[in-house]
Amino acid sequence: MEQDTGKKEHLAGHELDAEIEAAVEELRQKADPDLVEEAEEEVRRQLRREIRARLSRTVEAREAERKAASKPKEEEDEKFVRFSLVVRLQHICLMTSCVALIITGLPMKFPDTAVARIFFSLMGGVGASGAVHRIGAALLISVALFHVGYILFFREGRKEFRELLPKPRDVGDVIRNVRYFLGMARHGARFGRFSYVEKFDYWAVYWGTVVMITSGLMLWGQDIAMAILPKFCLDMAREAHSDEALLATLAIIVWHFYNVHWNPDNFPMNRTWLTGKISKKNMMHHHPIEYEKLMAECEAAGHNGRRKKQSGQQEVDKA
Amino acid sequence: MIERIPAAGASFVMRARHPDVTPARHPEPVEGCRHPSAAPFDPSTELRMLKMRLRLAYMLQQTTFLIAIVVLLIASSAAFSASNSECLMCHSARGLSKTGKEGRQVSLHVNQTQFRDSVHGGRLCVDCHIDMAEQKFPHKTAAEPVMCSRCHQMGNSEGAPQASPIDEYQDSVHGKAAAAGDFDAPRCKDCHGYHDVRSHKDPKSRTFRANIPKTCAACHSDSRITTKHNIPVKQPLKLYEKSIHGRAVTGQGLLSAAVCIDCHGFHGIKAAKDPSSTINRPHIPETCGQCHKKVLEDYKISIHGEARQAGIKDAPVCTDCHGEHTIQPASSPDSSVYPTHVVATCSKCHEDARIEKTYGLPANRLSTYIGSYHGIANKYGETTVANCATCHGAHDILPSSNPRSLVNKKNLPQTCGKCHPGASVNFAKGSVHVTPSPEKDKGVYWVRVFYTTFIIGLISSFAGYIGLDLISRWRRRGRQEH
Repeated sequence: MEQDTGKKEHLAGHELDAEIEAAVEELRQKADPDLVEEAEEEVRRQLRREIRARLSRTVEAREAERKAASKPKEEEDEKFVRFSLVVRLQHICLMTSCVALIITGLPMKFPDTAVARIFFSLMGGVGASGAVHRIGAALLISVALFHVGYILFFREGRKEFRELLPKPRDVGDVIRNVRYFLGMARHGARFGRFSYVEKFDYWAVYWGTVVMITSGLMLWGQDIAMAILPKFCLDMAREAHSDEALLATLAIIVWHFYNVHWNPDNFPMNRTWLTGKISKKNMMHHHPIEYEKLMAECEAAGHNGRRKKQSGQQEVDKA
Repeated sequence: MIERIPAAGASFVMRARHPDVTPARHPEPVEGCRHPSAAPFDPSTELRMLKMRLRLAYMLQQTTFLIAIVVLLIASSAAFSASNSECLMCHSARGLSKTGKEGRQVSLHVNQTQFRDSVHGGRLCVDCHIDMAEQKFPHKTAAEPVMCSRCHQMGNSEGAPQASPIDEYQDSVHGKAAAAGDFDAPRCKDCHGYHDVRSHKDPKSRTFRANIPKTCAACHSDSRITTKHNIPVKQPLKLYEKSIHGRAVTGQGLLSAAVCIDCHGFHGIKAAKDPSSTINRPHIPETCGQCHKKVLEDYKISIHGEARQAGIKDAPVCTDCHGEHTIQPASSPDSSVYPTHVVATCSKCHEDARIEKTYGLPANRLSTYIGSYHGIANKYGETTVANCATCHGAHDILPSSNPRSLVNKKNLPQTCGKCHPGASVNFAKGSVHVTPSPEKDKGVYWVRVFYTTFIIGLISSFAGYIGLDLISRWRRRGRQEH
């Protein structure tokens, strides 16, 4: 960095000299010839000092610019809180448990594959893998139970759940978007807080969790289950557990990952699940109805949107 | 004459005991003896003389008898030692050998120590090599092969032991080959030894139980012999040594553990393909059952045992599941009936399309097992989960239709209860080997159909939606940029 600074100074030196000489020439034509030489030197000295100071400022300023450039653009943008911490933690727990369950579960569905062989040998056998699967299951059950409590007893939860309820409008949105994709409509659907994509994700998890937990508990406590149920029910539970697992895995990889990772709008990843925030631009683009509603609400409340909004400058300061 | 004899007799007896004295030498007359006719007649003296003569006569008789015995003893021992020592004059030389059949060097050396310690140590060379008795030494012609059966036959006068009639050997695979002039075929001496024959009870004997594997391996580990004679098992000793029987005999010194002869027989040994062989398939259970008595009883009442009794060649016998020379206990991970290996062992027949079809065995037993949680866990080395034998039994295996069968519907709660405490009749409601179809295991079948349809429908809808989205984004790309 020091070398770099030196070089710049050196390069600037040539231009500087020319400038100085021009100034001196001007001075010489006007002033007393005796004083010219002394004045020339004085001017040169002063200008050098000045320009050196200006130059070093420029280097510092450039550093600051570079730092600012490396930061994501969105941070300069206005931010909206999309997901509360409680929601994000639920998602993280759900994700962790699903990853653990899928990794340890799929080799059981495809036990004859090379991947399964490698996996079980790394895990030290199906017993250890099963233990991890049960830990994952315990986490999933916990987060599922917590979520039920959340949508029943939390004001925020009840509000979010109401937003997530499927409405006839969602069907219209799907049709509209497909028409838009096909070039049959000018604009795509306009979404509120949750689009049909997110609603589908939510209700798929809802359905999947109910099936997986019910069948999984039957298999976990097989001896207890068999005290009540005949064996063929356990066989059906096993089949459902196995098939639903495949369905869930495919839905996550194809649907969920497309929407939050592979989709050009979000690639490589939509960071909202970690930060809980969404940029104004994205808010207006993906959830225009919610944005408009929020703005109207804020205006009505006279808060000028400060309640739900955080300025980008604050974010930079924190960083 | 009378006076000198006692002295001479006594001296002779004493001298005869000395080894230097040959019995052929006649006693010499003793110097300085008085002639009896030189003395004058005197009646009292005459009477004394008469008594003395009587006493002397008695002594003479006794002495002569003793002399005779000593002479006889020395003569006989001299004659014996003379006969064997004549042979050993040459045959004690270590390097003595000749070029035999097929150009092999045959040692003609006789180890005297070994011979003396053998069961025949007290015998003459010519007792066995009878053709040599008539020969002058050194003999010009080679000795004929020794006929052990000259003595070792039923009711022989020598008291030579006879384990089995000689024709048993002649009927054996070895005996037949030997009779056909096969030089590799073992004769008596190849197993029992030559000059070092010892009793099979003698731990140093080649036929002592613990030494038998090595004795047989002398030929059966020789790849030249096993290849030439097309013997199916090439290195039986190597396999046997690692087996439970081999380890018991060589490692633990358990003489009751099976050695070669216990399964194969000894003098009457026959190839496995010979129907009268102890290791011919249908006879194997009885052969193993000599020691494994309870197992044989269980096997006989099992479906496999019944099939064998009915003469079905495919019916499994002990070796089909347990192996032969390599046999291991079920607790050993190397065993073919170890929990994780049982599945493959049973599947040899129960996944064989021909056997399944011929005997009407239920199909897909393997695939329905390996897809189950039991099967997957078993595949990945869990020994505690159920394998074929856990539910079906091993030696006493019976079809589920048999009320005594472990997998009979009525007995299932008890059988499953071995691992699943408190197993109820619910365990018998539904099949164990699940084969989903519209007729059987309907519940599982419809769950599968539902999900298959659902997965295909949903994922293809997703793919279609995503495809449309991406295509439209591509088309709109230019427009958005402006």
